[in-house]
Amino acid sequence: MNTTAKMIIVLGLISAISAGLLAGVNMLTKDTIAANSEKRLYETLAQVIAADEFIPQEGTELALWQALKNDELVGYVVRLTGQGYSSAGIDILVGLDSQASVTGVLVFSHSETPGLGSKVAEKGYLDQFVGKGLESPIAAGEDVDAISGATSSSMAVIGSVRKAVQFVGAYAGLVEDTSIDFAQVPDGVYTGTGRGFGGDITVKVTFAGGKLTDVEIVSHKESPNVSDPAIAKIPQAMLDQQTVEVDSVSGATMSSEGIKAAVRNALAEFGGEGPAIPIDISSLLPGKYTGAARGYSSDITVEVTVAGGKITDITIISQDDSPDVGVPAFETIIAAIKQEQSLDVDLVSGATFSSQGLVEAVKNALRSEGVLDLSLLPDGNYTGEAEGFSREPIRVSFTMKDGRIGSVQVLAHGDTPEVAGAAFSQLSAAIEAGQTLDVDLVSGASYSSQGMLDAIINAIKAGPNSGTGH
Amino acid sequence: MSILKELKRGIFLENPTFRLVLGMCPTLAITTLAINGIGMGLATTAVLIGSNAVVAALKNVIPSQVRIPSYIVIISTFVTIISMLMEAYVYPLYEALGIFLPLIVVNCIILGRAEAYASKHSVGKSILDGLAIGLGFTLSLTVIGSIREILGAGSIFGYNLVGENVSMATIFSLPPGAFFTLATLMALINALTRKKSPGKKTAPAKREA
Repeated sequence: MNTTAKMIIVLGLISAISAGLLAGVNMLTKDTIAANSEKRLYETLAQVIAADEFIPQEGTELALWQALKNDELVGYVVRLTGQGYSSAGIDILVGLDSQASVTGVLVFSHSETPGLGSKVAEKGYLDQFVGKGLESPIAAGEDVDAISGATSSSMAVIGSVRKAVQFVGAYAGLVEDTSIDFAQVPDGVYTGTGRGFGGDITVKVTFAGGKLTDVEIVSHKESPNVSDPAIAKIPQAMLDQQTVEVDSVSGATMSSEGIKAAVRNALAEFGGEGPAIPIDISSLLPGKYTGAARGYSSDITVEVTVAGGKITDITIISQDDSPDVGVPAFETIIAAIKQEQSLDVDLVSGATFSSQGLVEAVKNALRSEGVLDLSLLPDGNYTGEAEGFSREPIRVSFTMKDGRIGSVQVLAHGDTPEVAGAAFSQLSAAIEAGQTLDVDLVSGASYSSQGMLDAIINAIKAGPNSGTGH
Repeated sequence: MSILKELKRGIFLENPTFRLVLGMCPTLAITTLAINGIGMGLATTAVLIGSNAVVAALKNVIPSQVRIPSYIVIISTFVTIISMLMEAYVYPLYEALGIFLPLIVVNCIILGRAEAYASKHSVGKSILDGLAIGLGFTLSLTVIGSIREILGAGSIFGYNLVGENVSMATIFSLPPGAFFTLATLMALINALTRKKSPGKKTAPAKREA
């Protein structure tokens, strides 16, 4: 036999025998190994929810197990990865009961900085999530704490728990289907907010011709870079697919979900999250309100003046509709709204987009904060009260004469006299001098200051006292 | 050559850790606890006995040009078998040894014994050599592991020696502690053997082997 052939045969035979041996040992041990690994996984899962059996669910967006105790469904375990400080991510298990309330949270692997980020994996920190559910905001500074010095790591854990709660809420059918039928949405511009990773995301959604034509992200507090793909892709995907329920961008899931929530919120009155707040004109404070909505060719911006619980004036600040069709329609609509003191007016036929746009702009204006204008208040004496620093209400009184507010008297209050007294006279002077309630709160007495302003607003809402007996 | 003499050679005179200074990677990495030292040592011993036996049996069949790949295939087969058995039956130890278990394949003690001993001796002698060298390795790792566990964690084989709330020198559980321990032990052993050497005629000759 020549040496080359011998080399090949011997090495080949050794390898073949080795392979055979390994196959044999593998057959022998694989069941035990699989059983062990399942047992270890279940032991880990049992740390976040009291259950004795876990059934993995297939085809879900996040890894999900149903947790059973004595063969009865007691809840779920969700496994997800949060993006913390280190690029490796924080692997988190969240146990939830059948009502999607958190039963336990476990960080089972992370590469966060030891001593700082690693604190989020400690039981003492994670226990704060227990009991949080669909009704909880689960946001840092609101109902849960972030660890100072480990904000990124904390945010990753907080965001993951919030996501797990929402995910199970949707999976278990606890959250209603919020899909929105775009065909039912009238043309116009809608704004809404949703909670992303870093805070509220505000969007402006435009409908024209029965289609979603624009989703603009007006403001957000998402992390730069990380959220960029979501901000770039989600609005475009919504336009392309004509639905809110588009796939989240991987790596920026929280931001994606936040944008979707904001759009749902903007379209809430059309089958999203409950009806929009109805507008009660008679309860509006006197002042000027600005709003915009999509007309025929572009946005219509209006300024609505409210005085004495009535719409007294509607000024179109900007619009681009045709002078022959749009503008006459605007005049008709404005006259009708002022006449009927209602936003449920007949649209002008032949100028539906223009008139619908104007009505929506007025609605948006009245839903906005508005600028209180004291000069629009009728003359008379006003009294009102609101809670200040103590439980004792702050009771104020003031007089309006010829559209000017006089000095505001505090008739009664239970706040600390030496602190609040000075604040009240300082505020009163500022209000009288500026003829506005848009004054700075007195530092050191902000609750008392806010209470006084609230009391004035309540007085305005109540209207002037009948008679001039005071 | 008696069995006792062989064992003495493997454990003391040719101790792989302190005299041959082989297999330093697992020695330094896994000896945080005494039990890890025993586990790693016994796993290596098992592989060493198996590979020594097979290499000795096949020493006339394997052509010298392909002997190194053949040895590696044989060694890695034993390592994989041991590792599968450990994963199935002693999982905590398997997890503690981690990456160093599969890396027994490239532990130079094993390839070294295959090349230097088993390929030149009979199967019986090779098995004995594997056992002796393996036990020497196990003993060394256990000693290092015990010292590090006592100083670093205040326990031995998991039994607490100092009670709760006593801070130990954690550095001995960390990588630097491995170097401190190994260096001190090696210096101690060298000092002791040097003192003894002049008196015994046979010792210097052995050390050259």
